[in-house]
Amino acid sequence: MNENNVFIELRNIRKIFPGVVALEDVDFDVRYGEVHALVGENGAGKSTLIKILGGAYQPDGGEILIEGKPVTIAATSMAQHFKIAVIYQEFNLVPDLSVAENIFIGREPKIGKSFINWKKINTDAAQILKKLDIDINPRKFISDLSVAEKQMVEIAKSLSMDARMMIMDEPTATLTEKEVVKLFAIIEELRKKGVSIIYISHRLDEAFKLSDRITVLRDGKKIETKKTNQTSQDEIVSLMVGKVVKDYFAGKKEWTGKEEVIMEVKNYNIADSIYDISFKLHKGEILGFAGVLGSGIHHLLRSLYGAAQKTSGEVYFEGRKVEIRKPSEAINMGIGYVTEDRKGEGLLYDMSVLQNLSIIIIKTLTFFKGLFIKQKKELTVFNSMAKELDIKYANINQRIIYLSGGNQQKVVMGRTLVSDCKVLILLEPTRGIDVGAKAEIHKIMIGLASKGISIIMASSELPELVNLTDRCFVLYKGRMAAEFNRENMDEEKLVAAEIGKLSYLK
Amino acid sequence: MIKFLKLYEKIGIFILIVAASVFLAIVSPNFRNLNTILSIIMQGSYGAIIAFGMTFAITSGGFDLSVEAIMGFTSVIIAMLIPSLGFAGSIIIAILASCFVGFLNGVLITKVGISPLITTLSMQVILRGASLIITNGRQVVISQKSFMSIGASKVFNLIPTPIIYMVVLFAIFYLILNQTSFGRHVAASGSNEQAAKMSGLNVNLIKTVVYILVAFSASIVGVIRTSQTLIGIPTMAPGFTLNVLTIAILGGTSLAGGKGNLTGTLFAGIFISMIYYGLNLLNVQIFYQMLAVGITLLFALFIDGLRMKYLETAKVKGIRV
Amino acid sequence: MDDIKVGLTPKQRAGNLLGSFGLIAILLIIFGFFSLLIPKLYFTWPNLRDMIRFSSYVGIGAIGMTFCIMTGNFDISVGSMLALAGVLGASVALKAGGIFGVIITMAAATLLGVINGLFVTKLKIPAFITTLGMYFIFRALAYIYTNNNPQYIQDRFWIFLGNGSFLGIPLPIYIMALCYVIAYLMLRKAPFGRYILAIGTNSRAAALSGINVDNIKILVFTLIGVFVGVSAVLNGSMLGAANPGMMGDGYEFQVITAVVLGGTALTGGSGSLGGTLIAAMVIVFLKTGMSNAQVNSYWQQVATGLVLIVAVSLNKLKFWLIGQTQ
Repeated sequence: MNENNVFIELRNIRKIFPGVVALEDVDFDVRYGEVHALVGENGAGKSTLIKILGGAYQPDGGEILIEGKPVTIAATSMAQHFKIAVIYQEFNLVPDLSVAENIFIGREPKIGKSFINWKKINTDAAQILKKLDIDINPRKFISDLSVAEKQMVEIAKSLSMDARMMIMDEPTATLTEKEVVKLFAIIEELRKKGVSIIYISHRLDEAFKLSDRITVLRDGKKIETKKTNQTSQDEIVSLMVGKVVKDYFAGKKEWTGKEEVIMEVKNYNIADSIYDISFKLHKGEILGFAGVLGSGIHHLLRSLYGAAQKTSGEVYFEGRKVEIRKPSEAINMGIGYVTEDRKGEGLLYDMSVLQNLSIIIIKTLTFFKGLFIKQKKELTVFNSMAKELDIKYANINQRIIYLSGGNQQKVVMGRTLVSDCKVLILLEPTRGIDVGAKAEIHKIMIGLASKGISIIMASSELPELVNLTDRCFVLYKGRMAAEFNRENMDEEKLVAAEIGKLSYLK
Repeated sequence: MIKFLKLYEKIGIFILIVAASVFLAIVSPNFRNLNTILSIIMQGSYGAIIAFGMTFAITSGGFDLSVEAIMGFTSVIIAMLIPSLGFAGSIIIAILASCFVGFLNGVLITKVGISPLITTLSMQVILRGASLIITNGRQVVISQKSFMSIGASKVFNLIPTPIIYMVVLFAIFYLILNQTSFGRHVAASGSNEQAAKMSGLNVNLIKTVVYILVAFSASIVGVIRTSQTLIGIPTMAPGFTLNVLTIAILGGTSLAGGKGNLTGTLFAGIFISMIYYGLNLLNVQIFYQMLAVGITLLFALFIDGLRMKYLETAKVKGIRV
Repeated sequence: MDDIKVGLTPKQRAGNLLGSFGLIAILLIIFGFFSLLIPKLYFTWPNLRDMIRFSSYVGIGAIGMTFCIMTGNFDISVGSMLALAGVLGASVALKAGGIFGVIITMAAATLLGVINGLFVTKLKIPAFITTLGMYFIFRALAYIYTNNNPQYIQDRFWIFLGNGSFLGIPLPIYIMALCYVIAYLMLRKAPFGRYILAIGTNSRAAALSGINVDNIKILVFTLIGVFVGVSAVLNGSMLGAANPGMMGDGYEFQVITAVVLGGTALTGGSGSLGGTLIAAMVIVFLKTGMSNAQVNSYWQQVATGLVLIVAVSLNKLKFWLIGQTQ
């Protein structure tokens, strides 16, 4: 391949968010007809980079060159103008329109000025689909398609706009093996046509199968770009993880788990996401769950809290068989839950810090048969929790959205903790908060565990799992793939198991 | 359940019509008469015509509660202008003025960002007030008898003109919704507004045009009704908005947006008219009609709710429907 | 970073100012304007007293609606609910006496509220359209029940409730004050208030916090019924009759306007009862002023419509200034 055939080049790209440097002097280029894989752990800066290329973010420094000319991609519509197409996880397709209409939306072939030329739109769509060797009837409605088919329509749509570069974000996360094979064939087809592709995936084997080059990002910096045929999966994994253990960990925590089992899950199934999962949770234990997108972990944990329904399986809590149908039942039992989607389903953003913290237990802090709130008691509970978690706020009536991410997270955690739970389910407890606050959250978790509270934690940050958990389960496509304890667990093994490369079961 | 809902979506309203026809044919000898049937269809055409516009609004993800005020507004303008401009001129101006009202609705909804509920509810009150101001609260008698030919005559001495208007407007609206890019963009805006915007569609403009279309269809019915009575009535057809919404939703246009079923709307309009006819046979008070329409609306909502619920669960479970 | 944002930007200050004092300013401007324009009719104690008395009609009904809009829902059926409950109660009063009439009015309105709540939560259709259907059904039932005849209210007890005074202050003002105190306690001092705010601001978070969202919604619609019932009793008393067609005509519009003008966000999650109360007074002060100044009633109608649009726009401006993510 000609080394100088560069379609797009990024030089010294910087992007700073309040408190976090998301990208630091990143150089990156993509050649014509090249599949360039972009890998890195969560928070490495991949999605920021894509959003800059797609025009959703503006870089704070550096320059972008397309075919050698410096350009600014000021809006998502500009990306289209430069023939760059981003295929996001949530597709930009209209469910109630047909495949052909979606491919040509806004650019429909017409008879006269306004009437859609159905014959032409359908044959044109069929032609594009055929070029990609995709077997979908262009007359079908998007809402009738499978996820994989939708993705292929999205690709066809990009192609119909003469996209020169396509950015695919985790395209295989929700596909079956067969569909993945199909997608790879299409990517091969696109490459032959000279389309450049940036391919982002957690699954390294895919990156190796497809790509010409691989770029590794870590902590917002570009670590290296390697020719795929001159590197190995082991080397890439070690580049992704980094040699040094991140300094905000005080080292591995002490073993806190006890013999006593507080909760047991047997043969648990959830439609299309969780298959036959069984495990035991010990008192005072921190149990980790690891898995990439599509592992089903979130479905599992939500359903243990009663926020989603299982299809079959049994749960024992303190030795008794229980049915958890809704969150209030879980709360009454002593199971707490802290969501990973703080903004979407955690924060009560119009309400005060105090009100946010007390919402779960407010009905118990009452007199007169639950009619009136004991306001002094509420304040006492708040103050002691705020002190315990070291929550920083201006005054108790301050709206929660004015707190920093770390303090918001502490309030949302505190909300659950004041309800005296025995089991705490934490999803991505340190997502979107800065390093200092992360260390604090970790300290809190260790403190809770040593007090005898059992914690189930799902995280995509591997160092967190390695350093905090007593045991860690890895799920791959809804099944138990590996089970580690603190002696035999390390980041390389976790990564390998997450991407289905390693199966390690007791 | 999903199969039943799919089937209902396709033929539900026809089954209702057939059932109602059989029932009426048995209980009422008069029903088995072409003129009766044509008269029922004519009575249904008023609601159906406005519901064509409403179908567009619901398909785009909104709705319009100001349609009955627009009818009265049209009626008043015609009555006031007809002595000086003649009926052709006054009709044109009345329709244009109504379209402007629709334009205002659209701008308030898309540009100012006020919800369709508040916008059109306020517009209903404001416009009704304005119509009353224009005539000083009176009903205005129109002396130009030739104006009657618009809505109160029969083609071939058989088919009442409103039926002709309904069929013509149905054809036009049907073509716009299903055959033009604009119509498909209306559906796209209601189906997934974000995706429509990302695909470069001017959703604000599309929605504004939709509210103009609703106002246009309401205005047409205003013209027909005025011509039939030869009176300009500022408070024309109180409560008619409910009929129109009921017809559109009963016809299978989902409140979720994105799916407009104009054929269903057409037949739902006739079905409501059959209910009215049936109630008249029972010789009950006019209020029972109001009750019947309200209950029909709840029924239509119930079906629509089931549809959203089952399609949603089906989507979650990955079942194709 | 653990820095806390304490200071408000000038923009946010302006927004808060608009929220807290804008409404009182509007009330004073309207009162001042008509007082200067028609001092003899308007700027008198009896007029002021009567205006506050009449405020109870919209003011009390708007309490339930404030709760409802705080959860992000609507109830369009309140006007018809008022009429149906009113005619039922009035007809009972004719036979069984005023106390029973009042009880039946209250009970009927409460029951209608429960029905609304059940339909809204079980149908899973936006509340406004479900209650729009109810709007017509309740009104039709009121017509059918009375055969379109007004039900006169002559019972002395019932008449006294709306027209009597205690210590020179009309009873409806006491009743309205009582309703607002109870509602205030519910909203600010009871768990219920936290629940409706939580549902309005983020219903998914509320559900994850163990709140039974459906039950709270049913309760909210029931409360609308209760407060509309009180309004129906007072309205019937002041008018001396319950008329199936006239009673509560346009009520939903006035009530929603009061709530929105009072600063409650249409998207739910925030609002204030005090704002609703003052807004109810703004509506009556304006209406009375226009009537006294002999403004054509049709212009008054146009004005009511414009007030709602302006109120929503002002709210939008306020939230934009504060920078609230809605």
